[in-house]
Amino acid sequence: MNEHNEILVALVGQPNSGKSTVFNYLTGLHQTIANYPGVTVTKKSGHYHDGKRRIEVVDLPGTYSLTSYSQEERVTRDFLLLERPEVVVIVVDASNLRRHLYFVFQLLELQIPLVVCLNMMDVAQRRGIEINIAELEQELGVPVIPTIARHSYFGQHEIYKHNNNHTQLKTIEQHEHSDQQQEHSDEPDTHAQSVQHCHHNKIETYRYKDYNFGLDKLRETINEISKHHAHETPPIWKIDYGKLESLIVEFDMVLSQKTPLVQDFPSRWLAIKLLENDREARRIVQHHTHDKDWETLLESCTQKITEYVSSYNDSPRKTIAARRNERAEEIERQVVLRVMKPKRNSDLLDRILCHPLLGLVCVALVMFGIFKLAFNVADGWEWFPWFSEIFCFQLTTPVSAVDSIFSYWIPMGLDYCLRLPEGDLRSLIYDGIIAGVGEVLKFIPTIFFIFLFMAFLEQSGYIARVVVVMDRIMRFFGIHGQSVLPLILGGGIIGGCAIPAVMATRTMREQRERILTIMIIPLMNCGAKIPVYALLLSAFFITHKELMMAAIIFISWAIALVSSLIIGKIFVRGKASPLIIELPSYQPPNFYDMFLSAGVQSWWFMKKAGTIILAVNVFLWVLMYYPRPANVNVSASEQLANSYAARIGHVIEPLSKYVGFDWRDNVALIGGFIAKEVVVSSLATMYGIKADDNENDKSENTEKNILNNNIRNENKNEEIKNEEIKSEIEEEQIDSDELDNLSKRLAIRLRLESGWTSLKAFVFILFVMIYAPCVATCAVIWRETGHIKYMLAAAIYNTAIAIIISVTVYQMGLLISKVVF
Amino acid sequence: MSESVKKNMTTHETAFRSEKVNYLSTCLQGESGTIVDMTADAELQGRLMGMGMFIGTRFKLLQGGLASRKPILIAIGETRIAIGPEIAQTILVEK
Repeated sequence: MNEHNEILVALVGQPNSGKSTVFNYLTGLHQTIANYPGVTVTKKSGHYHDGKRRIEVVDLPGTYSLTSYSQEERVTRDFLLLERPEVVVIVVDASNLRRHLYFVFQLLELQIPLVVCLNMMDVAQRRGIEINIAELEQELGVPVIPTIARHSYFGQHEIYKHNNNHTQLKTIEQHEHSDQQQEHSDEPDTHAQSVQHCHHNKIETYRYKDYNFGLDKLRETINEISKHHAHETPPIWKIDYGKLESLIVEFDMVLSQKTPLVQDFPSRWLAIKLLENDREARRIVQHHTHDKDWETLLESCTQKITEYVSSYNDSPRKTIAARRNERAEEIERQVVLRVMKPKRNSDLLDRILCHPLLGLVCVALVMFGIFKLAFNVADGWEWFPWFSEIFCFQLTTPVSAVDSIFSYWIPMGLDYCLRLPEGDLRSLIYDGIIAGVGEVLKFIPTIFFIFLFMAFLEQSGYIARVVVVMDRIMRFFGIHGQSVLPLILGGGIIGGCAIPAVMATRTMREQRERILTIMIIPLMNCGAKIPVYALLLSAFFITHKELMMAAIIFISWAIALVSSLIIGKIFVRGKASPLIIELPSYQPPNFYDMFLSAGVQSWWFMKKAGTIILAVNVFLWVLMYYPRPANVNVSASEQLANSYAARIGHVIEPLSKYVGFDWRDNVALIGGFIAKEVVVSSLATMYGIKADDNENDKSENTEKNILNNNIRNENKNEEIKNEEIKSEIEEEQIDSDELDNLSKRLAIRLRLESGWTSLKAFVFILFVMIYAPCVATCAVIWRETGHIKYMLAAAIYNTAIAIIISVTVYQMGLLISKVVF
Repeated sequence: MSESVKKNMTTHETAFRSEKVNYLSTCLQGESGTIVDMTADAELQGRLMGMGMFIGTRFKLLQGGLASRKPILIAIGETRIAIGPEIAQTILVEK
């Protein structure tokens, strides 16, 4: 059975306890990310091997308590009670012991095999806190392992530092201890005292030598507990709840006779929960008792609570919380020794970073910086300029490298090895599969670098400050202060990508706000929409390009925020959760964690979203490629004009003419569903302009020449005004590299050809901005939320408002132009 | 849950007898005090307690305060917590 070969370990802890660092240490790269069934809570799990045994570690969501009803807390509690992990590791912040003990008690009451991982010992030390681990172990009745997870990879240096500090700390401690001994010297129990003292010193030496190996010790303990306690239930750990105790015992007795119930849930815990008036506990009693007496049980419970309230003027819930807190205080007093006054200099920094105005400036700077950095590292700065000089291929940035590998190197390699003849199979492999895989992998560098910097922001503790500063503004629209970063990554400024943006919402705690954010991210102007804007702006709005761009950014934010209000009202209901957030102390980054997180997220994207994206790509390829024309020598534009995609374009033309789009524009927009990058190239194909870069094909070259001549001839016949426009466009583009040759010619063609007006161009821009997110984004939304309904909602809602807005703008524009001219 | 229980649970009439007792939202920047009662719903209270805010806990107001609509920053021991003004209006404190 799996008891011997596979062990399930759950990792719990409050946020900011360094839980994910411990998780990263334990599992390394063997991590998977999924969703808990039916909820949007992300499930992180991983494994490692200990000899022959496979240890499966589940990183449960960070929660502050198990008392409330949030999704995370329910997931955590259900996992602990129903999945029955062999070992539960609770990660505790040693520098903030009392608060974390309060949470530990709640887990101890669940009667699960617990190990306390006393993390952040270095922070505790810096704050002048010493912890007697042996005594803490004794008080809690479970193993306590001190660790510094953050430094587990740079251990040596830290050991040295601690040893130096140690001499000083130890003297103070021994001094205190001798004081204590003197105080108690009249007691008869001096022997026991000295034994404890010796024990303490032994622990002391262990502590300082082996801090950094604490995590290895944690593994050992996990192994031991899983071996020994496989069949035993852990001992009952009790807090004396004082005046409430008699009631708890009473209900405990009653509940322990309900056999199906106590098999799954510890009766004392349930009794406490019932007296706390916990909705979930009541539900458990209702659903897990076979006989009908649950009603009387719950009724008597309510009655007892009322009686308690009237006689003590205090609710049982408050008594329980107060007693737990008192107990935590007692233990803290007992085991924690403050050797110096805590210093905290982050308060000064917080005065600036959380300042309503200065903080806003800082957020803007940091967000812009991270955004620029991530996208430039991935696809902006030329890392290997010499590469293109030597090999003449675009390998300058990571993204263009991936792109050129899939658009050039692999097809060339395949040509060399297989020599596939022209035909369906070749096109399927080249244009469907290889291009599709390339489309997926092209996102990887961007995702990797964004998550690298995201991890940095998160670890540093700055994210919490962003939430505080942005909360007031974003709350107005029903989203969270934390939504700002994902929205910016998704193209809130200009350029970006919705995919890492949607993935970046994982750090958000409140599910409602998270889904709202995910839904409005596609409305931002991602990098793939920019070429469309650039093309149309330089064709139709040459003189006001910058102004129009600013207007586009403004419009997209306006639509996104208003959409958030609408979606929040009709689709993702529930009230906005009020702001409560802990501001963790600032921490230097841990590079191992940063790279690990970036790697794991990229892998997740490839595995989970990549397959869907590939499948849809192949499907859309079929739409564009079939039916094949009888005549082989048909040009690409003619072939496309006969494809299924074109037929769909024709079918919806009667509708799309209200927006001013003809069937060719429709085909381009359908293509844009694969990836928004496709829009420009499809438009070019549909309007009969061929790409001319490095084409080897002779026939295409001649075709290009003919087309060029056509354009020239056309232009000759045009009025001088048109000549001017053309030169204007060309001049505009010569110094800027925004548009390639293809787009330049397309811009001229669109401008000069009848049918395209500035109004149509503007509506087209609006439509591209708003309509259904690309396949890749849809796939990520589906995977991320765990529900296909959110993906469908994003696609349908966006397309619907795109149509509404475009029709309105177009018809209004037509009306105005009719009246004016 | 019966209404009577709900009503009784949020009793804080006694607390108001002292003049020093008021809502956290009325504190001034830099002021410290003790939490006397919490009137938020059980879910929120559970969260606040998980962060170390109990009845009897001492705190210091680091930022915001006095009926401001900004989030306020409070220090509880080593913990720094930012809470929205609507929650600050459910926490009774004694200066």
